[in-house]
Amino acid sequence: MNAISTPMDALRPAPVLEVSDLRVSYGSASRPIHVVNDVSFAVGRGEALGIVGESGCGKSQTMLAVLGLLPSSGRISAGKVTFEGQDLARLSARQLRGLRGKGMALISQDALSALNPSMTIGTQMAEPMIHYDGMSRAAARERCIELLDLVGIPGAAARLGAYPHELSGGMRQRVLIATAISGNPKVLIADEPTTALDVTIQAQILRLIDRLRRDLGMALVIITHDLGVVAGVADQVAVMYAGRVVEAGSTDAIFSEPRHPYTRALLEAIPKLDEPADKRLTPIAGLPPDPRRAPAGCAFHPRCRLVQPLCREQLPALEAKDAGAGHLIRCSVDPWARTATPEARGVSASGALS
Amino acid sequence: MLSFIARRALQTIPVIFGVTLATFLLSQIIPGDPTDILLGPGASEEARAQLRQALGLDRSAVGQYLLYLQNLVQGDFGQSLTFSKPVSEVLASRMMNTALLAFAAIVLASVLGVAAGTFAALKPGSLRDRALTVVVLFLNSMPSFWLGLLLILAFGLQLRLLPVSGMTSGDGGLVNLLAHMLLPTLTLAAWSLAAIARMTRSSLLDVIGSDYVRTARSRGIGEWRIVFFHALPNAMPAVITVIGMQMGFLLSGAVMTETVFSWPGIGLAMYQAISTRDIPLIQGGILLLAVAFVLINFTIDILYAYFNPKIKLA
Repeated sequence: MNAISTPMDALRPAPVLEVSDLRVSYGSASRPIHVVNDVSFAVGRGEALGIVGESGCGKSQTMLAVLGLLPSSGRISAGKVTFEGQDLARLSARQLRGLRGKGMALISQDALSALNPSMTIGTQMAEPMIHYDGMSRAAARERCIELLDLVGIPGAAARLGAYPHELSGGMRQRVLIATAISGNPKVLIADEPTTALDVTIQAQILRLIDRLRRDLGMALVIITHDLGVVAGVADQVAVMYAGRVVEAGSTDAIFSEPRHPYTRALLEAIPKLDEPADKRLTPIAGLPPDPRRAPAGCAFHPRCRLVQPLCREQLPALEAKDAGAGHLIRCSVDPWARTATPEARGVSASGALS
Repeated sequence: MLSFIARRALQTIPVIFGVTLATFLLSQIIPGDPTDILLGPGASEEARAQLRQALGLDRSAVGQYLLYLQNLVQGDFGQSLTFSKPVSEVLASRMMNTALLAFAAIVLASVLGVAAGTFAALKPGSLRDRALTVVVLFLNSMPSFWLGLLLILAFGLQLRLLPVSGMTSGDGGLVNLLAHMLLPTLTLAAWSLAAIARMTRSSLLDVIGSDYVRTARSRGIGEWRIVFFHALPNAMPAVITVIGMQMGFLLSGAVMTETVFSWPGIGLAMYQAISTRDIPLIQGGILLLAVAFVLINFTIDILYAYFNPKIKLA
């Protein structure tokens, strides 16, 4: 499987983080349950990749595997993760620990549960600086204040003694971002960073993450179920379904020419400003499959409006089709191919959706 | 924190009143005329009336309760029938012995329990985890009098390594005292140790699976720092609650253990008082144990607040 690549590859920076053919499995070796399959992507310095999909599509599992933070029952059973050319599987536990925080950092979804409730903000922010980087307490304190300023927390010095539950939700997310960037990571992984926040705060946090990425030259991997988030922040998008990438390409291509029925369905489920307010949204019927009982063929076929007999039998490959360069689609039917007829899209002669 | 402690201290006052009421009611509920017990069935009606007046038994129930409280405040718990001494003297001479045993037991149970639970939680499902589960189950299912008798049989009678009864023998030095303490302490600690180990394990596993431990890992914090600085402090409130509850159980467990090992503590005195229907001593003993229980809970609440900053707001 190819990583997302374009003819502009020569101009793109060498990837900082590269994932190829990653497979994550749970359960015994004889009866494994694969929650992530054949996932490949690459992000370069300063680039932003959005990984999109419903809950349970393997997005978070992919990123936990990248960070080496899978729970003890899970494992990477195939493929590899390369950070700055180093295969992470070859690193010792100690080297891997050194990489976390400095090479790659994580912002999780719910800042309240992601911050230690019994430690003050200052103590947890300063912990790696004092105990692993040999900074003095005073220097670490200065650095924490500087970081809190950077993420836009007013009166930073006074906040260092606060416990997480004493801050507002948006404030906590900012603190979590400050802790994540404290080690000057080269890759920032944001797992649903705005899901737990209300809409106005979401926009502020997204702008903050975007600004920090540009200012600090980090590569960003943002995991979300919200295509709106991706549109605002990411250059590249990978849409995941049931542990596999079903469509990948530049953000422009995905939004202007969505090709996979799942991507289109996700887009149809979002309200748009240029449509009448009373237009009904089209939800995707059903739920993503349980990885223990994944359907044969294309995993999306039970929910797909355009399912064909072939879909139930054959797992389509992720391939370029006739879309723009670097735009990959995993669909046997490919109803929105440039050459496809309207009938393939389930549109009858009268033009209405069947 | 100070205002929290003060508020919590005030809350214990009604509880202690409730306990005095309960022990008072005990004397009211128990059938029979106290003068029968004190003077014997052949006493004259005159003598009975005199004694009733002296003891305040001729007053109304409320009046008797107030008299009881008045005496308690002055440190007068009444007269023990079996020991022919004031109850307060009997209890005072034995309180330290029980405290010593209970303290040794809870320290042993806490240290070993937390260590064992942590040891198991670091590798869930491993051989050592499963072996520990079996030991914990064994200790948990073992009644303390039975374990005590087995220990006496093994170490006292077969191996003849340790004394099996009393607090001291011979010259009674520190080593002699410790030797006498060892078996009763083990017996008393066993059940609590198992409960503490189990709670430590499950609470720690919960915390290790939490988001903030993942955050700490994602920032490159090492495994031992995670366990000791992130996981254990957050697992502690649950463990402390169990330790506190165990201290309550230890006080009652002391009755059994002290009886089995003839340890001259409150438990043994209570056992003797119950078998001889020495009501004032039973009342005094219950009151003392109940107040100790309340004070322990008070201390636990404060420790709880120390480990969990959110409590202080409430």
